[in-house]
Amino acid sequence: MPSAAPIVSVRDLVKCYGDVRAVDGVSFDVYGGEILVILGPSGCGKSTTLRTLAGLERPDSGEIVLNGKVVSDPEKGIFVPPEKRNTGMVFQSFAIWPHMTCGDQVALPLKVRGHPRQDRRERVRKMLEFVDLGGLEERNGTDLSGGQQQRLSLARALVYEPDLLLLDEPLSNLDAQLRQQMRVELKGLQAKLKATFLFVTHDQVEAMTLADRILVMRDGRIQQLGSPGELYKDPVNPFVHAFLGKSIHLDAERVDDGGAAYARLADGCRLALPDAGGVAAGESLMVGLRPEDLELVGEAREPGAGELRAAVHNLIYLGDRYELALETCGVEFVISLEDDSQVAGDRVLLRVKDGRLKVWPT
Amino acid sequence: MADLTGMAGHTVSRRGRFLLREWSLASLLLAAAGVVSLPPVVFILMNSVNTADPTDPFVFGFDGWVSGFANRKTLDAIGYSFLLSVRTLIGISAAFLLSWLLVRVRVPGRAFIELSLWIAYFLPSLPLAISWILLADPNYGVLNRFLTPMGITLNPYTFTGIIWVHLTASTIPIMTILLMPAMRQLEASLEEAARVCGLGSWRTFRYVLVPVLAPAMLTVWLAGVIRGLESFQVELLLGRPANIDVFATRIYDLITWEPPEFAQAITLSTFFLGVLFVLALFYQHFTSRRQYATLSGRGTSFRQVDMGSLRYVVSGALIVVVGIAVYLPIGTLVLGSCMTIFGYFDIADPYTLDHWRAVLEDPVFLRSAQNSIILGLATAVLGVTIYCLFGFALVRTQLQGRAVANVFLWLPWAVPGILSGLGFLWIFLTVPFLVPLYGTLMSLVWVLIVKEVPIGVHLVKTSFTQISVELEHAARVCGCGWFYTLWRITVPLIAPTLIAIFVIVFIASIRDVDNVVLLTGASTRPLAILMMEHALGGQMESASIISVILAFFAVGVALLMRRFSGRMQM
Repeated sequence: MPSAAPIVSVRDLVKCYGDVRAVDGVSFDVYGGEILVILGPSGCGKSTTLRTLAGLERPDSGEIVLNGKVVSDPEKGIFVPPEKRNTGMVFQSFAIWPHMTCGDQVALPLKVRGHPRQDRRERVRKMLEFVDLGGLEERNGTDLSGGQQQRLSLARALVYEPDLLLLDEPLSNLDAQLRQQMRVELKGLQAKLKATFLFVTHDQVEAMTLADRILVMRDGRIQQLGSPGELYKDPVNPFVHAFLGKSIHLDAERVDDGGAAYARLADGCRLALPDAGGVAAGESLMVGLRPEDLELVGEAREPGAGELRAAVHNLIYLGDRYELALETCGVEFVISLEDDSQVAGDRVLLRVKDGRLKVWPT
Repeated sequence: MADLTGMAGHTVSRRGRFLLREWSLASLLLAAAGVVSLPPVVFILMNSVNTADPTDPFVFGFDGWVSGFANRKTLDAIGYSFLLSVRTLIGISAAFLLSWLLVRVRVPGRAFIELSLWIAYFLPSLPLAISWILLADPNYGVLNRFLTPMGITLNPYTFTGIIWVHLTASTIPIMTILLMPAMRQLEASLEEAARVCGLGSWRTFRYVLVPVLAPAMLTVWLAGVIRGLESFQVELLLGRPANIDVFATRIYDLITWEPPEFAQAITLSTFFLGVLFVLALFYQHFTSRRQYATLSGRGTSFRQVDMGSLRYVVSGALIVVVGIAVYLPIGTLVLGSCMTIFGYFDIADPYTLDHWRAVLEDPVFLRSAQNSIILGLATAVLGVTIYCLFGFALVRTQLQGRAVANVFLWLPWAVPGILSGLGFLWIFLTVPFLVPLYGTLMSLVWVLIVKEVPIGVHLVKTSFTQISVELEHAARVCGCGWFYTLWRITVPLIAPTLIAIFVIVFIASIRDVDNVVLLTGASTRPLAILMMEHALGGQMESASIISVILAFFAVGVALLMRRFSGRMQM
C-alpha cells in the first residue's frame, strides 16, 4: 500500500517548553494512503508532534517536509503558517464553530480557496452525504449529537482534499459504544478516500484497529515504529511490550549451563534464552511474556527448564471462561482458562510456549 | 545538491525576513501600548521639574514643588481628597449587606433593586449632583420646603452632602455590582457546615461569610479608593460653595485661572500619581492572588437564607432607599426642567416648556449634542477595534514584551481623568506634529480611548480566553489566515462582549467631564461640559434639561446593555 515517496517527512524534530523537551529528536515518514498512528501515554509528545505538522506549534529545530515542500525548518528560518500547508485536522473537542450552520462550516475552507458558490454548494452537499449528514446543511453545528459533530468535523477537514489528515485523539470525547462504531467508520472512510491519516491516541485498541503502522512514543522520543503485528510480537523494549496488550515482566539473571543459556528467575526457575539478547553470562536481564504465551501444566512437581511456578490468588468463573489470578516472583498477572480441572491447590506450574519469550538487557 | 544549495541561498533572506517580522511585530505591540497609555504620565513626571510654561523652553527647577506645597489651599485639597475617601468604607459595608440581601436572602423585588443599581451606575454623577441641589438647596430645595418648618434644613454644599451624592450615585451601586458575583460563587457547603455545627444565621454571617469574602471586599474597596480619588464633578458643584477643594478641582483651578499655574498643577499631579501608583500596586497584588479554593467557579446552588416575613420588611425598606437615592433625583431633574423658576411653585405659571424650547433651539446646544454623538460613536468604534487587536496580541500570540504591554495598558486605570487631560493638554501644546490636533474632536477621542483601555482590553482578553483556541486552530488549518480567522470565527463568537464594550465606551464618552474638560473649546464642547457650564453658571433649569437628555441616553443604553449583561463578565 505505501507508495514510494512519503507524503510527510519529519527529521530530528525538537520542540521545547521551557526546560522540557516535549518532542526530542523525532524522525519518521508517512506514506500516501496509509494510517499512521502515534501511540503513547499522555505527555509523551504525540500531540505536540501532530501540532507542529499542522503548523500550530513552532518547532525549535528539525525539518518537516510536506508533499515535497519544506514547511518548517527553524535553522533556515522556514515556517509555513497552518493555512498554507493544505492539511486537515480533526480536534479532540471537534472544534465545531457555534455560530455557523453545518453547511457554512464545511463551505468555509472551500471559500478561502476561491471555489465559486455553486461548486461549493455541490461539494458541501456531497461531503455531508458522504459522512451521513445529508440534508443537515441548515442545522446549527453545535445542535448535533456527539457522533454527528465528529462526522461534521471530518467533513470540514476532508472537503478540500488535504494532502494529510491529522486527527488528535478524535474519539476520546465519545462514549465507549460510539467510539467503537466510529473506529470502524473511520477506517472505512479512509479506505474509500485513499486519504493519508496521521492519528494520535493513547488507546492501544484504537491504535491496533486503525493503524497500518504504529509509532510508539515516550518522553518525546520514538520507541518503535512498525506494523501492529511487529510491535505486538517483537517489541524492542519492555515499554512497548507493556503498552500493547497485557504483559508480565520478570527480573532475571543469565546463567550458562552445558552450552545453553538460561534466564534464572528470583525463585530459581530457569527459562531457556532463545538468543542472549546482548546479555553476557552473569548479567541481569528482563524477560517479558504475555498471558497467552503461558500454558498450564497439570502435574504438581518441581518446575523444569522453561517452566514457571506461580501462586494461585483466586479463580473467577466468567461463563465462557475462567480467569486465574496468579503471582510469580512478586509479579501478579491473570491468565484465561477454558476449564478449571487443572487448578488444584494453591500452586500451579506454567510452561512458556516455544519462541514466545522476550529478553531485554536491564 | 544543486537544489539544496539553491535553497540555502534562498533561505538566508527568508530567515532575515522572519526574524524581522517577529521583532517588528513585538516592538509594534509595545510601541502601540506605550503610545496609547504612557504619554500623559510621562509628560506629567517630566514637567514636574520644569518651571516654564508649556509653550516655553524647558527650565529645570523645583519651584512647582516649593510653591505648590507652601500653598495652604493645595494642602487643604490633598487633605480633603483623603478625608472624602472615607466614604469607601461606608460604601463597602453597605454594598456587602446589599449584595448579601440580593444574592443570599433573595429579598422580594431583587430584580427591580438590581436594575436600579445599574441605572444609578450608568447615570452620570453631575446630573445627580444637580438634582440634589434642586432637592436640598437651603434657599429653594424642594425637600427643605417640607423639612424647614420641622426645624431641619438640608444643605448639599457640605462634606456630608458630597459624600451622600457619591455614595448613592456611584460608590454603593458599583461596589454592590462588583461584589454580587463573588457572593454568587461562594460554595454553599461552607455555610451549611457552619449551620450544622451549631452556628446560627447571624454567627454564620459573622464568622464564615464575612471572613471568606474579605479578600474580594478588599479588592473592591481598593478599587473604590482609587476611583474615588479622581472624582471631580461633584466636588466642583457641591464643594465650591463650601470652600471644599479636592486635588482634581484644585488642578482645574490652577490650569483655568489667569495666568495658569502650570508648575503647581503638575507637581500636585505628580504627588497624586505617586499615591495612586502605590494603591494600584496593592490592588494588582491582591487581585493577582485572587484564586480562592472556597470560591468555586460553578454557579453553585446554595440554600437561600430564610428570614421569614422579615424579608418583606427588608425588601420594603430597600425599595424606599432605592427610591430616594435613584428615582427621586431623576424625577426632580424632569420636574426641574419643566419649571419656570426651579423651586417656585407659588408663582402664576410654575410649569413651562419654554426652557426646553430654548435649549433645543439653542445652536450651542445643537452643536454640543452633535459633538457628543460624534465623540461617543468615534470613541466606541475606534476603541473596540483597538482593544480587540490588543486583546488578540496579548492572549493569542507569543510575542515578546506582552508582559510589559499588559502593564502599560493597565496604567490609565490609575491615572485620574483630570491628570490625563492635563498630560494630553501639555502634549497637544508642545509636540510639534500633534499641535494641529489641539482643539479638535479627534484629540478628545484619543483621550477617551486611552481612558477606557484598561476595562476594554480586560474584557476582550477575558472573552478571548473563554473561547477554545481549537475553534481558531480549526480555521487556520483548513486554510484561513489569522486576520480572516479573527474576523470570521473569533469576533462573531465574542460579539456580545464587544457590544457591551461598545456601550460602556459610548456611555463613558458622552458623560465624561474629567478627561476632556481641559481640552475642549467652543467648537468641540460636548453636552456634559455644556451641562457643567450651565450648572456652574447657576442656570439650573437648562442644566437639568441637558441632564435629563444625558440621563435618558445613559439609562436607555444601560437598559439595552442589561440584555447582554448575562453574557458579560464585569
